[in-house]
This record gives sequence, structure tokens and C-alpha cells, in this order.
Amino acid sequence: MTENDTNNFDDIAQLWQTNETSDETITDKDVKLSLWAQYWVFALETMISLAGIGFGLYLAIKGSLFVGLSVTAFSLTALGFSLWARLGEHSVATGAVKTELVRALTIAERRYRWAWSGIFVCAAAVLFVAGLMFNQFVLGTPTLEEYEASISLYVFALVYVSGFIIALGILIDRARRSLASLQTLAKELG
Amino acid sequence: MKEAVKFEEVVQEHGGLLWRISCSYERNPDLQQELHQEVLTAVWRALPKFRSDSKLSTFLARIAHNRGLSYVAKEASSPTSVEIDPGFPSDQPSPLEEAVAGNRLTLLMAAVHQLPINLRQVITLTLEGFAPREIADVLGENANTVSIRLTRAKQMLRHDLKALAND
Repeated sequence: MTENDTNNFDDIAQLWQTNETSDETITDKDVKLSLWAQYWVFALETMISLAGIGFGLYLAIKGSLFVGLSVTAFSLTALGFSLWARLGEHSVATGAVKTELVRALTIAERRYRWAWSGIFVCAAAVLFVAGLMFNQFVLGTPTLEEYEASISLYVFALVYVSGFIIALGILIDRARRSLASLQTLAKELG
Repeated sequence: MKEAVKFEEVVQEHGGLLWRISCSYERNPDLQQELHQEVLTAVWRALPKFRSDSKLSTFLARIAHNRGLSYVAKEASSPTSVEIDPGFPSDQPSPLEEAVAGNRLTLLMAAVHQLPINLRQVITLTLEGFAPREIADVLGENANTVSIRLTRAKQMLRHDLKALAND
């Protein structure tokens, strides 16, 4: 590299460093405020889910077993998703870029596999419920009361599992895209 | 309130570095602000982890580049975006073409954005005054690889800037 080249590049470096943020007002207070807002949203979601669980259990104890358990199950699911959505949010990548990218790839692969395993578990649950229904309604001879008591529970179980399958399908799509973009980045970075 | 004071000091002393690294990962000015905010939040969270066995600027550059990369990955994986395909030609005007009417700094930013991401990382850190060994530390590469990439990056940057000046 010639001296002329070096001088030329020094000029470029000088020019580069003239690019200063237009937002000079971001302070410690602003960052704390933004974090507190995130914490409050999470706290609100958790409180609503916990209230739902409590209410569901109350209904179940007071005699509306089916409705009570349904409310509890939905509230637990909401709480689970709320926690899952924030997994790893508090860890800041401070390691070398290449190391952190490998770590992100491992996590993305794990999430993708986890979502697929969820689909298989749900499929197994559908088969299990179908087996129970077959056993009770086809092989057995339920009374009208038994039939009425069981059918709503089975329908609820199937709807609930179907909901999970749809949610997991969305997660799989996201995980696949995330994995693909991370793999492309890893390839680009060499 | 030692941490609070330290964060303010960091923003004051190294705000430019964090801003420019953020800008190197996003072209859209509004989104640059958003990414910058994310980087600052990450710095605020990570500062208590900082040990003085490395330079603060190296530590900050790592955080900013890591956040920038996860931002790029997130943007590329969102359903409204196209996935990263470095070899695919765009029918949109190139950043350089868009920047022809702009000033020298805009041209430089556009030329930097034009570089492949691995060269862009090396060039932005060099323009910030990091030595190849420090860049290797930030990126997790060996110094030799960094030097090779830097030579290529400088050549490409000069070529793009020259081509633009001749237009």
C-alpha cells in the first residue's frame, strides 16, 4: 500500500467519523423508561393469566368443572406463551461476533426442533383422544348421560390441541425463516 | 448510581461509534434510530458485565455488531422481507445510484452498505480506528483473515467511490 493510499484512506476515515447521531438526547433515563415499559407489559400479561388461572380453579371447585378447567388451561397456555416469547430477552451477546452467531444458530435449530416435536406430541394427543372416543362410543355402549358428559370434553380437547398445532405451525415457519437467515449470515461471514 | 453515570459517559464518549455501527446495518434513517436504541439498551444491560481486561471500545463494538447482526437476521426472516440472497441482482436503484445526488458522507455510507457483510464489519471497525488485532478480537476471527478481508474491503470501497465520482 502506498503512502498516497494511506492518506486517501485516512481522509475516508475522517469523513466517516463526521457521521454523528442526530439523536443526542438518549439518556440513561430513556433506556430505563423503555425497559420499565416492557416490564410493565409483561407484568400485566402475567397478572391477567394468573387471575384467569385463579378464576378457572374457583369455577372448577364451585361445580363448573368443565368450564373451570377450560379457563385454567387457556390461562396456563397464555402464561406459557408469554414466558416463552421472552426467553433469552435479557441475555446480551457480548462475546466475539462469530461465537455469538454460532450460539444463535444453535438456539434457532433447537427452537425449530422443539416446535416440530410439539407437532408430534399434538398429533399423538389427537390419536389418543380418538382412541378414547373409539373405545367409549364404538366398542362400548354409553348411556345418554355418559355420552353428553364425555363428548364436550373430547371436542374441547380436540379444539385445544388443534389450536396448539396451528400455533406451533406459525412457530415452525418463524423458526425456519430465522434459521435460514442466520445460516445465510454465517455463510456470508465465512 | 455508578452504573447510571457510566452509561451516560459511554454514550457521550462512544455514542458516535455505536451510532455508526448501527447505521452500517440499516439504510433507512428511521430504522437506524430504532436499531441505535436497541444497541443502547443492550449496552445498558451489558455494562455491569464489563471487566477491564479488554478495552471498553472493543466491548462496545462487539455488542453493537452482535445486535446489528441479530437485527439483520430478524429483518430477513420477517414475512414481509425477502430472505438474504447475496447473489441476487436487485431491480431497485442501487444505494450508490440513490446517493449520487447526496453529499460525500452519504456516498461513503452508501458505498459501505454496498460491501458484503463480512467486509463491511472489517471496514467499519477500521474506519473507527481499530487495529487488525482488535478487529479480530471483536469478530472472533484470526488477524490474518482480518488483514485479507481488509485489503479486499479497501479495494472495493475505493473502486465504488471512484466509480461514483466518475458518474
